[in-house]
Amino acid sequence: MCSCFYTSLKYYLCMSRKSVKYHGEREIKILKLLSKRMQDRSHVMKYLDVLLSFLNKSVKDPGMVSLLLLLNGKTYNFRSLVCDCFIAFTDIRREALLAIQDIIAYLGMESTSKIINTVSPLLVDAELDVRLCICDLLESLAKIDFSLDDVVRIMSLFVAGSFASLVSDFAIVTNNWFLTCRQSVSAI
Amino acid sequence: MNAISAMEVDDLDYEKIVNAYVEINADFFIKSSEQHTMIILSQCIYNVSSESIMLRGSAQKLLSSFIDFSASILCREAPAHSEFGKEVKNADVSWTGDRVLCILRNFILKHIGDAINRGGIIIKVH
Repeated sequence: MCSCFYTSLKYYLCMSRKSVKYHGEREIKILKLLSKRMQDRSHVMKYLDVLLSFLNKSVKDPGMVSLLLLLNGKTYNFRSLVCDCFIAFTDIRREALLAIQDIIAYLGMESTSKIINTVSPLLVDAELDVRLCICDLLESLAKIDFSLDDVVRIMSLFVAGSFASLVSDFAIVTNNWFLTCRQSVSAI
Repeated sequence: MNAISAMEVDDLDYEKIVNAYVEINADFFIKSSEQHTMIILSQCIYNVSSESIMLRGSAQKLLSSFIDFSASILCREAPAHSEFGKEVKNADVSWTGDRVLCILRNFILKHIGDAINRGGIIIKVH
């Protein structure tokens, strides 16, 4: 138990150094590059399985789990280290979701089911940026599986709507807007 | 359901999320497949532990609505106890009692159990 703790701690201390990349980061970068070159359908299916393994909730990092169990919510100095680990996992998930989006055009209807089964449990506790990536992914999937339209509308309409309203608010900021502001200030 | 407030970029737009929940009712479950329903229910479980009372309330209401829907499906398969069964005579055949029970046991009850194990404040909702 004790050696397990120190191994985990050593691993995560190493991970926290900027020069050392966290587990999975290098792999996901390679996979992202691969996704740009994937065109063969049989290879794409295998590649999808690899990407989904990064998202599978049932696959846990044993080192991470043992460390969290030992910390058990108590306030230790290296609590921020644990937060870093979570950020790293969020990054990996986000990148994997983006990489899947890149290959959706080469996937068939049968893959949508596999993707949804893996992605949907993430919605139970994922951070907002991962949730937004999931919404985008679902939107892309709806282009090959029309039955998803209603769910996508519920899940992503508001995301798109809120961003659209935000963007439209900025759209009024043009050269004329600055001139009008300047004139208003001069008048005062 | 993940709407971001236009006023505060980093915050959720609770009003829009609550309106989204209003759209989801028994008819939505009838039309949707199990897989698609799981997407919505996962979002619902996320919002049940939200700090916002509005979100928690909406998510709890939706979970109750799904449980009522499940009861309808189960009663449809056992007409002798059909207090709810009449409501879903036209329900999509893809929903079966077995699948509904599977979701209730392996998803909803599982997450309720996880929440209880995590501790914290547990509020009884009637």
